Amino acid sequence: MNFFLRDVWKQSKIVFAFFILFILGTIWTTVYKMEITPFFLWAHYSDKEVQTGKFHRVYIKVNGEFLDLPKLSRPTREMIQLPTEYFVQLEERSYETSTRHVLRKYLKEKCSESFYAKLENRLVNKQSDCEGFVKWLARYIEKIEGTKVRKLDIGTCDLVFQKDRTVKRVNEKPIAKLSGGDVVLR
Amino acid sequence: MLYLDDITRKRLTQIVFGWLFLVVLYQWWANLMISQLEAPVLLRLDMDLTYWLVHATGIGALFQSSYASALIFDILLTAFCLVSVVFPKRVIFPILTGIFYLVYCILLNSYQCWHYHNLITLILLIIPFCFKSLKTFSLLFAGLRYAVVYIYASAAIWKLVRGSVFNDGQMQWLIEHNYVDRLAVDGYELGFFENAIFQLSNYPTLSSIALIIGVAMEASFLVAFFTRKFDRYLILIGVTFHLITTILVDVSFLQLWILFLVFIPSDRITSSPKTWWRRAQAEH
Repeated sequence: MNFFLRDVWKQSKIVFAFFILFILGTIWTTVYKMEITPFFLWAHYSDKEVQTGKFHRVYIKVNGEFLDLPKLSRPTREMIQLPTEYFVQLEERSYETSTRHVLRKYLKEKCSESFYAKLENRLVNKQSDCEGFVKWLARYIEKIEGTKVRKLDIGTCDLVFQKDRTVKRVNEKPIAKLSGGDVVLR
Repeated sequence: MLYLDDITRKRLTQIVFGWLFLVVLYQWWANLMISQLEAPVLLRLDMDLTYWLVHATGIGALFQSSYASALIFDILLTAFCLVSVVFPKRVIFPILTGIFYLVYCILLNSYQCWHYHNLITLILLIIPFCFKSLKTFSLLFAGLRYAVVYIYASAAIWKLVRGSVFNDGQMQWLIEHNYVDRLAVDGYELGFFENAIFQLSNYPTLSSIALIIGVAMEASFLVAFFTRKFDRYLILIGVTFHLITTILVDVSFLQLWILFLVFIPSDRITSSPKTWWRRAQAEH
């Protein structure tokens, strides 16, 4: 690789500078474990996991029935599942996120009140988004499933492998509910 | 270092943006274009300042409030990919495609509340095509080869450094993690093939060996930092690796397979597969 960079240096100083910046950016984001596009971290599946046979999951019930997520294509399924998991996290943390924390720490005192409010509105979610999210989820599921969502339940549960390798759903904990157009938080 | 010629560049442009067009068509099919998302409410930016910048411009808010503008954006993104294929010598279209594609990936990842790499990494592939000079294009495209090598090599290093590769039960956990949702669905029956893979989680040694082989395949890309001799084998290793991860953990990264283009010698890019095959036969 150093030969490659030497060749690049001989042929174009600008492209060489571009590569060096890219390498430095990649090193910096790797050291701080902080991804800033286009400097990506390729650490997927590198966390050590302990096999317990138990998985904490979100569940979604549409009109009283569990939504069959596995039947959807992976990207479509994740457009439903991942925001729901994030919603549960936000509810648990009272909408305090790292983005909000850094925004407050570094920009609140330096910007005008109106500019900060606008920025905050565009970059982070707030408690009042809860209702909007549940209604959005119902709309998106209606579009994907092609059925009218009259009632929607969101919650968490544990999926536990049994001795015969079947899976049992336990510890269901409701988080939010949409019924008759109204959102109720549990 | 040899520069690529006009014909090779033209062919590469058509391949890359043709692939991108197919990727975007798939996103339409999966209801994942911005106008199809029904104006999502939650967004997750984490500490990615590029995401902050895109959302700070208000473009996300605009698309949430106006279906028409989101639809126009989606149509333009699709059209720019296609126009780049039709007019491969016009640099403006790859530039516009790159900008629209980056914004699209950032918005989608933000609304999906997970910063996936399977789409956004293609932005690295678009960069060389944004420069008119053949010299700059050739140097950037040659550099891209090292970026692709880094992707796989660093993925292996992360797993080694964090110790997940030799962690007891790691692969069993991955398989269970992949299968638990479908097994929780009432009446879901595993197919013959699914069942065969799931059975692997009952054999700890076999599962661990599968994981070690997978990481070794990723680590083999390290060799490409020092020589181009094994490039064609790396394509084979890369595709095999992704096929295995698709089966075992439902992760294909199919959109990124086009990155293996950087391992194909430039003279092969302008030849047909038939000529390529004949050349390989002659070499042997």
